[in-house]
Amino acid sequence: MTSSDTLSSMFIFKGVPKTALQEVCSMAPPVSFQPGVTVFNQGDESDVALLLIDGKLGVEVSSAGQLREVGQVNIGEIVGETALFARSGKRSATVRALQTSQCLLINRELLTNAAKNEAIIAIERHLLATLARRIRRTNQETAKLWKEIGSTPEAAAEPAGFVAKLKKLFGGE
Amino acid sequence: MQRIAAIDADRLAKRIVAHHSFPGASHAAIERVLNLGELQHFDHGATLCAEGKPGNELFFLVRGNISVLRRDGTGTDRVLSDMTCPNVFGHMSVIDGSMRSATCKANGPVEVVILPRQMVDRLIGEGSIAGVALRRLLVASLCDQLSQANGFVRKIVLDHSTAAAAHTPNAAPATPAKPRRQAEDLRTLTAALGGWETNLDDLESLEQEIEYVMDEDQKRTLDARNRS
Repeated sequence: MTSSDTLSSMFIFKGVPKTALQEVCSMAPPVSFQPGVTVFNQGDESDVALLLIDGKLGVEVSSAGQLREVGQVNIGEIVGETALFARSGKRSATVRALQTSQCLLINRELLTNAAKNEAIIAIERHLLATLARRIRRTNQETAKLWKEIGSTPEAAAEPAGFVAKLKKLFGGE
Repeated sequence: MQRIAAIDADRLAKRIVAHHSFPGASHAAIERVLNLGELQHFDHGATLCAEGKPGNELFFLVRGNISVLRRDGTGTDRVLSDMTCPNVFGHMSVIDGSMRSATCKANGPVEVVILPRQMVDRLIGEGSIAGVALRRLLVASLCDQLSQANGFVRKIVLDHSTAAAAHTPNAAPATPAKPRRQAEDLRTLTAALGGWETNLDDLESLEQEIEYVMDEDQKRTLDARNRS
């Protein structure tokens, strides 16, 4: 199975012509990572985003000298887009391959040279939908937080109530 | 239909490109996008879009100041932020078809370029110069917006924690050094905040604040048990 075959089986490339996928794969051949290999490190300067096309990645954060796993990246998900589209180009987490993984590396050069390519358009549209969903979710949590905390100082002074609210909000007991 | 003046389009496009450094950003491409929309004027206090209503337009702020408000749990509109030029807003509903998540009001006289939903839908699916520019501008803008939203959640929790500490007799220091929580707890927090990419710094502070409040709760429980 070629890389473009793998891409064409992914939901985000539904309806994208094979020639467009082949063009992207020839300009930016997918890169493989063996299990345990670090894809990028927290604090690194970068302007590359990754589209995971096979395998699984783990996301870790270092704080107080400890490395903690905070999430996983599954096939079809994009990581590191902020480094590519926002001003701060520093990685906020370390990403490591949990399985043998294949990624499409999306950098400025690819986006500039293949701006009209339908696969690139599909990736950018996928990013728009993903970011919008994340913002909605964050906004919903903000609204819940407001609602549960209330607006009076007395309500704010209820530690037991606050704990219960935070537990409820963040999925605790 | 009134179009944006050439001099304003040039000025605004240059400022947008300077503000968002997305790949392939060019002021000429943004100018093309601006020239596709309709220029509209609003007086002070006018509502450009209302929370909970359908969103059928995207706005480019050309001149003036916009207040962004959201209803809190008590039904009171709270000002989230003020927007000045250059800024694009109202795009969330246009992208995902959901209702407006905030109200935008003119704070003084305002001029905006409005792109209708049908035009935005067409452009973000296109490989044209204007299509590429609009799509990438929106991605860049959403990346910024997500960072701001996460920062806002953090602020609410910090403000509340400070208020709670002020009302707690013999309050402990605000940031005690405690062992870290389990990865599972952090993952749940991460999911609640909407993804890991841009909020990890925020998570650490949130986590500390939650631990602090939990410690206080545990202390009170122990005190109550000792007294009984």
